[in-house]
Amino acid sequence: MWNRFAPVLACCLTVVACLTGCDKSEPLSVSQHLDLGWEKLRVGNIDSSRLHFETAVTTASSNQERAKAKFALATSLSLPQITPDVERARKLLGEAIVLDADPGTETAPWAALLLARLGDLRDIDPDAVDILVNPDARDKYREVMTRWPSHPAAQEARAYLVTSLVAARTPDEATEAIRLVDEFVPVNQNSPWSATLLGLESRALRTLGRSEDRLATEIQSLELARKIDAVGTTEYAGNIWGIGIIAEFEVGDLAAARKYYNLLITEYPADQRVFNAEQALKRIDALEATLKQEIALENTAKETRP
Amino acid sequence: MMAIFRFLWNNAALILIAAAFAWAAGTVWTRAARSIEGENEIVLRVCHWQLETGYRDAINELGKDFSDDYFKRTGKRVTIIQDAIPETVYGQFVSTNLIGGTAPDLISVGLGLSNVIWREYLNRYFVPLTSDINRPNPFNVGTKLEGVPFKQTFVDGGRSSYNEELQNYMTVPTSVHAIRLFYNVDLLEKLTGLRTPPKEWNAFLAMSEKIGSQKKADGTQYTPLASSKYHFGVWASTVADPLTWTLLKKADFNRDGYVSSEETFAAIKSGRLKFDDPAIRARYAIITQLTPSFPEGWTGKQRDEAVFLFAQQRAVFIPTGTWDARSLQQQAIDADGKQIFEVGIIDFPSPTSTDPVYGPFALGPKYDRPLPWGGFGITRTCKHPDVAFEFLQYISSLKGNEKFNEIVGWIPVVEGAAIPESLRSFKPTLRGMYGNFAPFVGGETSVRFEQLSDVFIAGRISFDEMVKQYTPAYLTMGEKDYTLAKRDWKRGSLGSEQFLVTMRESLKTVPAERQREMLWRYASLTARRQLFPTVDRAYQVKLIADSGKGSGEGSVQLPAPYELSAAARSRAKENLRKSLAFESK
Repeated sequence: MWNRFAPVLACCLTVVACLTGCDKSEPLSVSQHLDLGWEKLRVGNIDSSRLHFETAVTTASSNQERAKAKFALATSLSLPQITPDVERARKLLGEAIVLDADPGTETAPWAALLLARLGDLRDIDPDAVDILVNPDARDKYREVMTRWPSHPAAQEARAYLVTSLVAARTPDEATEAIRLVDEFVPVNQNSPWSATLLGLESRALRTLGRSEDRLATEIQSLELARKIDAVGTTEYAGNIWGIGIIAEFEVGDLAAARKYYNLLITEYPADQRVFNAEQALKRIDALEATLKQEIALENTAKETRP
Repeated sequence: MMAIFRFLWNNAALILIAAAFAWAAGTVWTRAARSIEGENEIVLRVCHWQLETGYRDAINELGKDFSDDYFKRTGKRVTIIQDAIPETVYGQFVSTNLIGGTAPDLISVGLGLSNVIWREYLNRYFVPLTSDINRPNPFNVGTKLEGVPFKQTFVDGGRSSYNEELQNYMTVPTSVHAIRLFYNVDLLEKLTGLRTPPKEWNAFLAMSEKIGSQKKADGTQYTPLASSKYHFGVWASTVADPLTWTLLKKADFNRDGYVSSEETFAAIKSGRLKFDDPAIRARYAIITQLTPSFPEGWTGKQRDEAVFLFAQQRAVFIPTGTWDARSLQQQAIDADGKQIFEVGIIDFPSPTSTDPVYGPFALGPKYDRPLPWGGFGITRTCKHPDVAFEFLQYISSLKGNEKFNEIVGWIPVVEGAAIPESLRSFKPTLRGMYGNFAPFVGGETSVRFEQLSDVFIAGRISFDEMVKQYTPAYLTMGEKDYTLAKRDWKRGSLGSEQFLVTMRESLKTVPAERQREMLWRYASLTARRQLFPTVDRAYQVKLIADSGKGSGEGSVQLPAPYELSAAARSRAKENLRKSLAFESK
């Protein structure tokens, strides 16, 4: 009896096992693969993110979808430190730019920006530890700015270009950086990048030794940041402390230094630098007393001069 | 009868498993039943790792008060159910529930998982509180904090609630911890005649010597300061390190208010700073005065051994944090509930500005970094996030926080909230000096520094000998360490870029009304992680390169960070002259 039914039972079990093992769910759409891939990349699951992106590239049905998938795959191939394939990433980015070349495009500017970033991040010899930016990448940032001037990627490209120029610490490059900031900020006061660009300009002005302009720029950067950051997400203790320092040591504007040291004390009472700010206020008082004495002596000397 | 017995015997394992299953199922069922909301009831599940009764009592008590208040306003009751999870399994509990979608409504954040994992969890499973935390706390109406934005009502200005990577306020804290010196009041009185120890350093030392010179009935000597390798770190950071605050003037080249290891490297290389600087010498001098009061063989002792020494009344003082306050007080009570000795708490002793040795470096008290505790986040699966946030506002309102911490025996996190009498001396000092001694650049210099420090602390070499041996090693190994640090920074910038690109992608799903805010956060984070660090690193590279150019022709003299330039001084004078002339007119 058993011998007769055993093969039948085995067959039934095999069929059941096969059926339960079958994936009965609907295949994922391209956008689902992309969402999952980005999610995996965000938490550092590189291999899994690449699998999703590879599938998205092969199953994409439109050029736009394919461009998105190629950009995503290029990101997961180029930025992680684990098993990067930068050359393939570059090829994919080039293809994404061609595929999504229509005006009003979404992906091509980001792909072009990532190509430029790879110039700074991947094209510098890892052993050349003192070289932080790659001048050859600058043209690529400029290309993003000129080809898609109204796209958000162009604003970000400008920020990276200015960074690259300021980091070079030469007067010519600092001057060029200042020009790039000054042509952007006055007409883009509401841009999330304006305050940052002014912060970079301040560093360029340091290279040029223009202390008073630097102080004004730092103050403008802080005010603009606080205006844009309506919900107050960012902490400004470092910026406020920095303005006090520039005012005191670089410009000699003791009134401004006092104002910002006091601002730090009142707005950020738990900041470690509050003690420094109190010491600075004492230091300024002492300096003013010395300067007053010097002025009084000079005045007396003038008056007694025949 | 025999048959029943045989059945039970034969199936004992099965019965045991069934009983365990029934018990577990019953527990789950009763908890689930409690979580089911009635018509006029809201249930909030709160998860934390504080198993002390005081903490759970405090949550229950405040939960009841909040429920009464909420009932008056809405006609609904709020029931708080606590999941008090042991520390050892806290991380697993949180992970399982967050991933499984069964997370409690409020979770105390920070224990059991790495910072990176917590950041990811906060990002994915918790509700950002930024817009709510910027509004005044309605439970502060009628108090001095009325109208003050919620985040600014905390002693640290809400800094601990803020997550830099996520650019969002994510948690609401309930208490603050600080580190102080605990002492056996009765033993101190017996040995010195004092009930309150002196705060001034030299007087404190003299008192310690007096304690150390006395013996117990069994002939063993009393130990003034209970210590171990762990406690030494506490002593060093509270008593010795603040004396190095003045190093700012010699090495804070970027003038951000802190001396980094790279800045120290530049300062040492250029000769602007030497390891035998008077401030560094003072740091070691005070350590040398401190360690003779430690128990014999303290470098090999564990933290618990020091606590044991204190509990056994063989040591008079022990440094620790508020979190240990209750347990130390319990150690002072015997099995019958009788007080064996009284526990006192003071701030650490410190030299005054008139001290002949330390005076030039003792410009103020030490800075206490507030250590906010118990930051609760609201999970995305919470059915009533608005009520959960209200509950947090209630606990962290001026009156609520006072009551909460009175019950639990900790320090309130809300500015101006009354601190329990026994914890008054725990109130953090927010205006004071902090350490600026960064003696190593990376791994190799760190190992060499620790080796020599240990030999110095053991009294086998002098401070001058330690400096003589360390300086050349630091300069040689420092170059290697610095090169490695730069390489790490470059690798780190790739990771930052990956994080930023994925963050930018996630912005595409943000509702239109929040796009502007989120774009600001993205830009701000990009600036802080990629743009400014690149430029600032470039300046640092130049600084270190300049610092190696030595003296003589063509050398570059590193500027003193906190000295006015000649131009700035003359401009300050000119401005003052003008204002004096204006006043005289």
